[in-house]
Amino acid sequence: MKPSGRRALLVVEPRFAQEHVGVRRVIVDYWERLLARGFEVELAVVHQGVLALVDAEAAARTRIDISRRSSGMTSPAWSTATARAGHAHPTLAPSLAAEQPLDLSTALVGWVRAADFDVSLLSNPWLCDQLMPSERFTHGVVYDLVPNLLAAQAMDFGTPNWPVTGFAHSHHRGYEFFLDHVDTILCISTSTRDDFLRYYEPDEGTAVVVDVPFDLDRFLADYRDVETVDAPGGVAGAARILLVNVLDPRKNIEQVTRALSDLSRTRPLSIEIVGNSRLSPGHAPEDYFERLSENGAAVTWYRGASDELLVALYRSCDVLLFPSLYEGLGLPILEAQSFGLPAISGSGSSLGQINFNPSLFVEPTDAKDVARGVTAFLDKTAPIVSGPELVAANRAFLEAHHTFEASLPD
Amino acid sequence: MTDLLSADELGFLDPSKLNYWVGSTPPLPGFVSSLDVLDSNTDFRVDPDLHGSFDGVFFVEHDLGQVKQWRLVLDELLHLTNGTGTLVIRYYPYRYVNSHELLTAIDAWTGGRAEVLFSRRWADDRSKVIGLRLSAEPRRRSLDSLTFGLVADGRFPERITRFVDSVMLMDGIDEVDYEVLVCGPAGAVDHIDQKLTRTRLVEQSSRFADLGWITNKKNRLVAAAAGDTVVLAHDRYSFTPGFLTNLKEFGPDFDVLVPAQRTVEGFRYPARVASTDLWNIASVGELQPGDYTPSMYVNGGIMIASTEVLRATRFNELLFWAEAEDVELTRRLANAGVVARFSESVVVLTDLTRSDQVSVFQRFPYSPEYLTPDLLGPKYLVGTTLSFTSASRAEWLADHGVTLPQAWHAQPDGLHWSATRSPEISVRPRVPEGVADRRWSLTLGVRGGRHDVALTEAWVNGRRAPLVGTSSRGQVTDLTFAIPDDLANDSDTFNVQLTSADPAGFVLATLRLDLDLERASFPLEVSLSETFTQPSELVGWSHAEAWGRWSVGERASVAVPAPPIAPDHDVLVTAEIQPHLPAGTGEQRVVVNAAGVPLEIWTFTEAHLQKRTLTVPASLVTRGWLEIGFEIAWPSAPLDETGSGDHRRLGIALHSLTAREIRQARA
Repeated sequence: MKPSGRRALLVVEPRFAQEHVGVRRVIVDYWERLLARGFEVELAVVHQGVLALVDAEAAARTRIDISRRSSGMTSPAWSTATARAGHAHPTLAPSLAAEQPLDLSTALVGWVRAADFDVSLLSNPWLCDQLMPSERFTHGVVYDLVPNLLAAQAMDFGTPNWPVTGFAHSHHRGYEFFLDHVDTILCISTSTRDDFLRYYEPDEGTAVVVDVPFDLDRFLADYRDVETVDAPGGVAGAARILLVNVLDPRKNIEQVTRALSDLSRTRPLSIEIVGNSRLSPGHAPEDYFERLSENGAAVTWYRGASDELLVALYRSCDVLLFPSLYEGLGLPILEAQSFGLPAISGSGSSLGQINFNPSLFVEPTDAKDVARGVTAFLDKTAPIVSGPELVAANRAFLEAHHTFEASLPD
Repeated sequence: MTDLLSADELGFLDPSKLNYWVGSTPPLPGFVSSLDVLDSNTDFRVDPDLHGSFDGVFFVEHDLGQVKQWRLVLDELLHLTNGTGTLVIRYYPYRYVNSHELLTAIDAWTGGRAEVLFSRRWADDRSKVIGLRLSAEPRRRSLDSLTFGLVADGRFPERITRFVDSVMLMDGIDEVDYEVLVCGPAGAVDHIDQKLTRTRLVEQSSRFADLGWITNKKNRLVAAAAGDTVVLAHDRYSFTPGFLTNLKEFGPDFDVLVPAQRTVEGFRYPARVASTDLWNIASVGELQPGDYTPSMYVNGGIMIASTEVLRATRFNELLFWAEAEDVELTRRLANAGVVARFSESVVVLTDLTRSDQVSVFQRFPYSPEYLTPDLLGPKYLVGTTLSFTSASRAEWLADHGVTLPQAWHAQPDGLHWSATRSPEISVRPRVPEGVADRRWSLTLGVRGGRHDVALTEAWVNGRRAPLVGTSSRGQVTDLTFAIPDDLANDSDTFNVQLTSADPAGFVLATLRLDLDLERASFPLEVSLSETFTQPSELVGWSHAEAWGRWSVGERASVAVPAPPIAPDHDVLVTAEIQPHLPAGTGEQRVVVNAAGVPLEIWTFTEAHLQKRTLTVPASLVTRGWLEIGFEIAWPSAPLDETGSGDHRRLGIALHSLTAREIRQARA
């Protein structure tokens, strides 16, 4: 569609494309949805108290960089087979840095005002804590209140929660900015909206809506050519269990490791892990892999995996195990379900709202219950929705939670 | 370990709650955030209107284990809750705090009514975060009703009068319900208008009167007190007019408060005091404002406290005067969860009734470590010149027995000192053995300006030290002051306060303390003229003129160092005096005393210069000083009498004193 002349401004962090995978995917979603509605989309960053416009060429390159990531590793960074053979594991190529997206602060062409645009979207709250000009914006995105609740001691993921106080405060200041300067606050899930409204009170002029930033049809279209991949091998007849971003205390690596290690005593498992490590200093991913594989499971870790590889694994594995302790949305579940892949998860926070297999809910803090859920899935002792039926449920949910378009100017 | 609080447990974050966040990064709405509770300049005190206001208090952004004054901070946190609500504290049990101390203090303060809501600790981090739900009884603290309790023994009725008068003259005293209680012998307040001043006698016990049963007296005062807050004072204390105003600004929500103490001349009296250890009082020390050490105690001379607190924890009546009842009380208060708070803004006035009252306290500089008063601590080597340049760091000076205030910063040319910023220097000399009759002199090297204008007075342990000599070396002028002999013989520490009349101040470059000046010898020739520089202490005199000085007001005195006197000798003092004869009386009458003991009444009916003599017994030449006092019966101002002339209330014009040793008449 040709640009209609309507302009949209996405206010982003200069290095958002390199940081915050979740934020990157949300920005892609809104960018594409605005284009689909006929908007001309431009990028701006906050620079010395003004909105600085990113030059068009850099913006275009950024869109390509973040839309479909074929770069990244496709070979394992660690696997049981390689470890047992005593071979060295490949390291993530430093050359990847050369392919990384631009730092947008190096491509500024002037300053703009939000009022010059029909749509102006603040892509995260914490960037409002950086000399954000006191202008009116049409939209602001709320991901979750996890840092806030950690700092306020409402939760503990087993790693020190007090260092997050500064980041939590930036969230808090951003939310207060949203309340004063944003027309429509977009919460990425119902639970996030519930959390937000539990602590923040918008006035009548501010709408707080749920908009799940995931376009199933575009996602499927982008990756329709991706084929399945075979299991890395090593364990014949093994069930293939996919773990996404699990190397993170909040994603519950400890209980996942215990559950799968125990379970692999009784049945063959192929455990395929995607995502970089966000473990605390002093914790090595290899320690968890050793424990996961100590009872015979085949473990494969794709660090820095391409999106294409991730999609291939969605299409190839038997189940996504995602017993995260707390989520603002839980995008891997929605992505997996887009390919009909069921997910085992907890039912707290947003997870209970987006996982359409309630029979696969587990108590994430209890390794035995996590193992029970995996067993129930593998033994098919629980009613499970999968395949086209699950895709349809996923689509229906997403269609019901797309409100962004309705909030756009005609 | 993983912990997600349930909806019920999360009630402490409910938006309807009001929470306090210590720091600058509150994570959610509904938090009042501030760093006031960590501000040593305000004695860790928040706005008192906030006390008892909060459902939750969060000390997460900072580490209480790294706060040296954690005990004072904790007290403030607890008072912010007023005993109920949620208290969240992060601490690393190292350096200043351990878990037992912290949790014992909380348990005691709440009377055991604290339960764990959560306790977080992590394998990779030694910090702990504890969340406690408090359910203690709200505390009644108020400054609406006050009891001023005075401990007296009947010997000094004028001190009772002064105490009562200072209460009556407080700004805002009529806005509170107050009373003055005096615990002393029968008749101790008969000279007071008791109805007008709301003063009442609490008669002391007839037992142990000679021992000074101050614990019993203080308990009697507390038992009789009608006020919510009680001020317990010995009779050397009185109040400034702003006392009540400043106390209200500090706020009522405290258990025990130690005010700052000053002499009428503004000299700082030790209030933030500590003993060697909790129960070891072999040595005592004084800390800088804002500092803290666990062995601090409430100086028993004066304390402000919740009456309720002192009824629950009474003075131990097994102890008498000079048995450190204040240290013992402090320890038992601590066991009850009560820690004394300190205030630099709430100020009381004190006399210096003993020369060692100040010097016995070893003065400490601020240090990151807990301080322990120790007789063996670093001392100044007599006769060495210490330089106050930027190269001489405060820590280095402390190691050489010289303590500077915490806020002091040296410039390359020395310590910049002005009338508006005149901190004290404390010198702790190494006293040579076998010197029974010590004489000290303090020499200060002053750079720049007109030293004679800029540096007008030196005070040592609250006593004025006369200027006895000046000399120059380059751009530095050395000013030598004689330390009064009574201090010289009793003092372990000299706290030196300099006053400057020049707003531009001066630069203090060096300090030296010497022992044994040239000894005085009879006959002593004392002139009060403007050219006179002999060591002396003058009180109650107007400025020096070519011939001498006029007395102004009812009292004047001259004190001079005196040489040793043979036991069978007296001192004959001859004074050259020109009296002022008031028109109304036609004569002037003067009671002359030595060391406060009246000896003669001199009556003048002629206004010319005349000589009078006085025989002073050797027993009244105390601590190496000859002190002659004059009580003027009818001081008057010529201006008042004639409508013109001098406005000063003149009594006598003293030209000179001569003192010589004479054999006692009876011998």
